[in-house]
Amino acid sequence: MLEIKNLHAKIDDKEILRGINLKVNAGEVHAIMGPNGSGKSTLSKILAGHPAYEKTEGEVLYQINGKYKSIDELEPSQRAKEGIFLGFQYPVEIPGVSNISFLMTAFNELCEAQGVETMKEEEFRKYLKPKLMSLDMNESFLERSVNEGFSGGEKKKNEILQMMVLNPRLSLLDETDSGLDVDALRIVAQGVNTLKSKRNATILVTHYQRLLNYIQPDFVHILYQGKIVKSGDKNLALEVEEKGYDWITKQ
Amino acid sequence: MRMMFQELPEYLFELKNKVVFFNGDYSPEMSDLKLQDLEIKQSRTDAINLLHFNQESQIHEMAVSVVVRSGCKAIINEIHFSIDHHSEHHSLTQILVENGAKLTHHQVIAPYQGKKNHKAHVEVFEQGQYQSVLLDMGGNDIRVEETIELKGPHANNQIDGLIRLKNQERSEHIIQVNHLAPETTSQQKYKTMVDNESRAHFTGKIYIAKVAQKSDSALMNKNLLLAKKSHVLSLPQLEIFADDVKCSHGSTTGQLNQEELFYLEARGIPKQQAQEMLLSGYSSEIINKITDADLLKILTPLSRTHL
Amino acid sequence: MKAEEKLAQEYKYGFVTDVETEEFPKGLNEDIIRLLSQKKNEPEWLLEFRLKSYRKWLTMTHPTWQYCQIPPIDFQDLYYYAKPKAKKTAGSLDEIDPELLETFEKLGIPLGEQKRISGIAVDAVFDSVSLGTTHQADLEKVGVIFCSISEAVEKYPELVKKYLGTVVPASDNYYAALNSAVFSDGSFCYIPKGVTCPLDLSTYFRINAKETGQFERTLIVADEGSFVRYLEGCTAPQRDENQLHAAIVEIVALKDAEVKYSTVQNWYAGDKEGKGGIFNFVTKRGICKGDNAKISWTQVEAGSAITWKYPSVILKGNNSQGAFYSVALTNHKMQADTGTKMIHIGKNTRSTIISKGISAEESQNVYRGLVQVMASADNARNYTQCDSMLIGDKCRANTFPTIDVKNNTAVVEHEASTSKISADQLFYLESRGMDKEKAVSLIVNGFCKEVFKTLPLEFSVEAVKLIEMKLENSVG
Repeated sequence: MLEIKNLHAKIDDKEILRGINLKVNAGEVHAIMGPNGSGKSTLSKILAGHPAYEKTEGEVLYQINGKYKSIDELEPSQRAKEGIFLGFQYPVEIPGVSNISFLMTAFNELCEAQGVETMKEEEFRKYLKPKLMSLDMNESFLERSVNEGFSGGEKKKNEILQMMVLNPRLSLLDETDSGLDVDALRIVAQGVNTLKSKRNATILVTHYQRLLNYIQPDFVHILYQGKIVKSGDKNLALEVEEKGYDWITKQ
Repeated sequence: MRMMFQELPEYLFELKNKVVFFNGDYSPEMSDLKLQDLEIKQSRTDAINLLHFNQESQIHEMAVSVVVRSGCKAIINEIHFSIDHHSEHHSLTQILVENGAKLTHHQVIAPYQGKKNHKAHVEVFEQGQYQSVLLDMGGNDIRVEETIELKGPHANNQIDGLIRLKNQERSEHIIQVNHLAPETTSQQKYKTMVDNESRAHFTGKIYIAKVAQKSDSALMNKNLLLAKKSHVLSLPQLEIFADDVKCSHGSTTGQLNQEELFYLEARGIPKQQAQEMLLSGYSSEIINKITDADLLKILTPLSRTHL
Repeated sequence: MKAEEKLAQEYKYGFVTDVETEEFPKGLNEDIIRLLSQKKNEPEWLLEFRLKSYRKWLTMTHPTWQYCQIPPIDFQDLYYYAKPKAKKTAGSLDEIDPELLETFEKLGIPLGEQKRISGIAVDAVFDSVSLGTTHQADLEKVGVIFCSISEAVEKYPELVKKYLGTVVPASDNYYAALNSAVFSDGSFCYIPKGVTCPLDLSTYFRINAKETGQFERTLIVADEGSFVRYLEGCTAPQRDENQLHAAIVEIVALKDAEVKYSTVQNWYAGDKEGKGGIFNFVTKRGICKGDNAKISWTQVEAGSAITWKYPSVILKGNNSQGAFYSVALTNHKMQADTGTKMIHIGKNTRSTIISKGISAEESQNVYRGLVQVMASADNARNYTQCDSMLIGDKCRANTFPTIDVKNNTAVVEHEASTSKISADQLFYLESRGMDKEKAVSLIVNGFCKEVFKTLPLEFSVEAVKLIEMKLENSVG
């Protein structure tokens, strides 16, 4: 589904990614781990098309209608419509824009892109109800402004709710577990696991192994100084948990 | 002069059965209220609407004075609208909020042609509360000057203002809050949205007298420049003569927040639409502070084109 | 130490130097100016510069917009030139009147060759005259010119003529016009292309003579790719009548150049009744003329009866940066009206303003700032933080910023807050064994920390001590 070849990227004249190679197939869950500053967040932001980051070298190919195409020319909103979903590490607050109007607009945009009929508000609220319940979220949250006054846990749940609404093909979850207590973590992981299918793929960016107890990865990659220095299966994550990152970075 | 409802702009028809004063003249019948020295002797939940308008190439002057008696609560909607763009309208509203009283004052300047000059002078006494929402929907020559004096302990003032200018418009707002008694509080949030070749000028002064110990005052001014030739002048000022106070002000000027924009786009909302959502959200924050449902209803069709 | 003893803490620089001075008759007119110019052997173009400025001054009126209450100054009742009769010889400080040398030593600025401070080249200005400069040989080796303006006019007229008055024209304000007409001396500094000045450069001003106006003029030109750190320090004796200090500092930073200018100012502030003290009116301005140029102003103001100064930076070159870091402490009956102006003209310019005001007793502290983004200034960025601390209930703090933005790609952020030293904070520190004075010092230093860390080490140590001294006995 996704093929990254020799990806180099920078922000503000600082090179962060120095040659990433990665292949992700449908149905797979990949975990990307690494010490702080290794470029984990940058990878997901670049894939989603964040304007502050610039690709300087390499290719990012994504399967659209069966064919691999470069996503370079696609605007962030177009990438979203093609099924790429970025779960932000620090979801921004948008005062004045209510959650319900935001979710509905995003959902209806997707419907239009796929040639499916859009929903009116009442119908959409019904559509949301079970999803809200599964995430242990109160309906009153819909009237509040996007992420305004939300705790860290609430913000992350909001990201997962959006994932459920938009049903993406490729999910990039950037440190989804940071700032979550055990209960919230369990609920978030459950949400992600329910959405997993043979037709979609997930990239989990995480610093700690803890999340991977709940969402089992098929592949684990260690990112260090902008490159993937080691890949393995879920046991690699356990090794890192035990030994820290030093033993890899010293190699 | 009497004005017939038919002459009103369409969006104000909603007010047909409400309490309405037109340029000082009162219509329809209501026994206990007179405009000169509008005195509120008991709490009322329905809003009193004061409409000021210009017409017939003249210079109009309008003075209103309102007293809210001790312990009473009231809502006043003051709507300024223009009919004739060759005229001038000067209005002065004087308000007194007695001990323990509460006044909610919604001031709306509908999209204006002609010169508009509005002054307000408010005195708030002990435990009194004055809440003001000021919506300026733009015009070519608008000037608003308001002074609020907190004269008794625990008096409080809250102002939420929005200046929304489309192309080639000019507006100046000067808001001064004087803390003249101990433990008085005020919160001000003023936003501007300025489109091409327009100029918004905002001065927010906070004065804390020596006797006003333990007062708390905060002012936040946000300015959004929408086009290359937008111009904003922001002067947040502090004059502090007491040492045991909390006082802060902030002013930010810039464009739409790029992170917010990206967040919406990353969810599939195209750029243009995302920008509109953010602009609407930006002004909604202030408009939604209006507590009178009828007034909000009136503003909705206006806000679609103007806000 | 008892409170009364602390009260008696004297301004330790308040001594007077006994030296014969050559003075002109009092008053100001074209003849005095011609005489002044003649005494200094100035070329025709400089005399013209002075006369034009004087004529401009006559058409101007004393500004009244500032917050301070300034007693009217009788400009005819001042001496405009006071030169210590002892002759000065260029380059050889050993020939200076020993009394003068002693004065500077008392101030902590030894000028004698054997005792000079290493690492800092000093130009000493006594009353209106530059006495000489240390380290000139070392600087000459790398092509750095650092000498008095008078000397520069003589040896490098083309350079001076090119830049003098280009950053602060006489027409700029009342005191700029006056200064441009009667300035007697000051420092001139030129750093050639690509040179990082090996020493910090410093000028020490000392006003000694009575009823003299001190009008010095400093011009710093940093050529492409150069770097210099400049320190200005000032002191004055204790006298009953006020003394006037109206100076001009001009900085020109060309492409890729950087100038850091620091001031720790401890003029005599007048006694507790407000008698005596210096009137300090200074126009300081830098222009980032070339791309990537940087200018920063750091000041610690703790003296002078009335201070009126707004160091500014004009950000003309693309990617240029301006900064202003200030601590202004006012005590007794001092008045300070100070601030900065950042004018964004080029593209991608940045400015930072951090201003900390501390007022105690009956003093008055005003911050006045202007951040102006012109229509041409794409992507301009400004961050301003303006904090006031009030000690006691008789003082005042005022903040009057102006934010004027004409370009929609700019991002301008301004924050201001007021605080007092809370009883809780004091108690916490006292309960950990600190006495009240120490506790206050600690809190105030924490308040000013961001500014102090931009000063060179020696200065930051001096600044901390200065604040401590000035604050003594101000805490109720």
